[in-house]
Amino acid sequence: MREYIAKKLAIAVLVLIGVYTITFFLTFMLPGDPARVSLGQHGSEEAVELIRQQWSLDEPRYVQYVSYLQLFIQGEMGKSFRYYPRDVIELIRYRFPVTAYYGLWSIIFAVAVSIPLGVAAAYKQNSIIDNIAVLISQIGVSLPNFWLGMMLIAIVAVRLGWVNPVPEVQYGYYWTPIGFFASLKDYILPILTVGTGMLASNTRLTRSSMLEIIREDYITLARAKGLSERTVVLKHALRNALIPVVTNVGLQFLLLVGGAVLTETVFGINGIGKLYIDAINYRDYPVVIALTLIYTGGVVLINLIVDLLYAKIDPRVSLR
Amino acid sequence: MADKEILMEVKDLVTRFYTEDGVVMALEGVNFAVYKGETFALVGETGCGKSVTSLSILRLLPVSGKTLRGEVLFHDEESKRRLGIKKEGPFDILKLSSKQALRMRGFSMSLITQDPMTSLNPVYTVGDQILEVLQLHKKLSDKQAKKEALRLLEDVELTPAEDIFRKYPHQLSGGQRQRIVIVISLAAEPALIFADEPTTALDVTIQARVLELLRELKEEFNTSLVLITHNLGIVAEVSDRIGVMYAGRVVEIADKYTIFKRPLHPYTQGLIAAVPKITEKKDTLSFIAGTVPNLIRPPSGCRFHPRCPYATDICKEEIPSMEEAEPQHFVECWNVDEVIKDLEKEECE
Repeated sequence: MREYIAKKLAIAVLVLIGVYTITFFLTFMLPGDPARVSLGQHGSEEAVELIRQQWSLDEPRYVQYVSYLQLFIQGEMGKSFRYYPRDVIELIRYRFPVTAYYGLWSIIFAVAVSIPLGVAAAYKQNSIIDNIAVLISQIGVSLPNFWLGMMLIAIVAVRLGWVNPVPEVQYGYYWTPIGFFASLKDYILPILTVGTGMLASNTRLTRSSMLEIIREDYITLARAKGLSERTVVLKHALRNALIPVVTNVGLQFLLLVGGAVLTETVFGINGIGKLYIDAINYRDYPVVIALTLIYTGGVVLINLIVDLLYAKIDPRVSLR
Repeated sequence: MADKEILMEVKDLVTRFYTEDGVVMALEGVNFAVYKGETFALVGETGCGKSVTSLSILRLLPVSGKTLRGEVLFHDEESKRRLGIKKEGPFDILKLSSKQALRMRGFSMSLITQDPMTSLNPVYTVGDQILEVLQLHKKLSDKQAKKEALRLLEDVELTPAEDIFRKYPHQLSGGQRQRIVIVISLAAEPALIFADEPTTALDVTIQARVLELLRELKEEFNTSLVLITHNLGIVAEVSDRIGVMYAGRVVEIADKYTIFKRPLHPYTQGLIAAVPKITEKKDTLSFIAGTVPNLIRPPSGCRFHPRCPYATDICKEEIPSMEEAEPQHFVECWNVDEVIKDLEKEECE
């Protein structure tokens, strides 16, 4: 087990270096000069040149490549171009909590609804609840996130006036024990927006996986033992049915970042997604590279967690 | 056999499945009895309703299945005590409440499933899966239950039991897993065990050992066994009496020697004749003409009549009832007298 984790982490380092290399050259291939973008059309040539020197943009590409790599190895991320001289780390630290907040709630919402719904749907196949579950997952999968977000704003916030269209919560409040729940009302629309798609795919997966499992011989045998339906479904069937669902939930953590770009644009949330898209628009290369690397690290980490969970749930999986 | 005590009588059992393609008349009046301590084999082709019979009796049909009619009379005092039935005489399993049925399963009767590779839950240790039964039905403490489980494992020659107990199903071979399934089915010492093709998925050498084990354990625990199989070799090996099923009905019941030596139902005759014999010199294999009927639109009257060499007009119209054609030899055929005549003629020649 420990060996497995060590191996995975060693591979992760290689992956990170590879991703860094690709992102570095791709971002620098983007048209547009960060110094020029930052000063605007009316900035003088000299000023632009000065900034280029300050940001080391005048150095050869490979020198920049190496100096950034050195920085990362030291655990630094450089300074943002757009918000110079603020540190990239500081920007991310500031933007991350809100994305993590509604992202976590989206997943909690999706998992809490989809697993019971999927189990119930499979258990009573072709019943009303099953039809509802199938309908929800069909609709949920086909609705684009940003469209759903806009519709929610238009209907729930604007027409009905139940909540604010744009969340207004003091920074950091949502991670206090009270704020974690109290902020729900403000973030309910983004949570629903992001959570619905996840809920849909999770429900569908839980249902199909459960349908397969409850036809297994060992479920018949469990019933023949005289175990109650509750034990049969919750102990014998669910644990087996959850194996593919765990992977899916892991993937959804990753999709959060992609989803965050759209959701945060729609709802005007100042989170990681917004930071990401702005950084690209403003040619804020250090931020783009840093976020891409963090994302990559996240992918590796979540895959590792999924693997470990897998081994925990399914004894047939041995980690080597 | 006649003087033996009856354990279970199945009378006129009718089970249907409601599917998208139509109503499947899976069981159409099944009759048979099982005596205490015997091995009763239900033999027939795939899809004739053998497994459905066991699931109907265990009340474990899938949602699409429903038992419409019939009685399953169970003569077992211990089960009555457990279920809180005060009434004298046998009780009808089909009339139990679902709560009673739950307490009955595993305690009064249990099941050995077909494929040992898929019969055990892959995410729990075999020990856990055995303990479940012991704790449910025998109300043992954790310690006692574990001791009992280890004893059972040793009983089926799975040693060292302590090691096996901690293993997951995928760490065991097919034969070992089937023994675990046997242990699970025996753990609560039920009066009756259904073994649904218990050895089909195993290698021939292991098959013999598992069957032998099953026979020993049956003696030791004094249970009855209903062996469901299409394999006539196994039937000849281990059963006491045989019921031959065809398209949802039991068409002939007798002890195994009679069934093999003197089958009276035309279907049974075809079935026995279809087993290739190494002593006979034949170029072609014998078979029963026609195919197994579709149970959504089964043939009228006797369901075997389209394939039957003895078929007459009445066969097309009415289902024959079970008659005792010869002592302890029950046959469901309108023309059983003709069949007997033919047999006698053959014997003379």
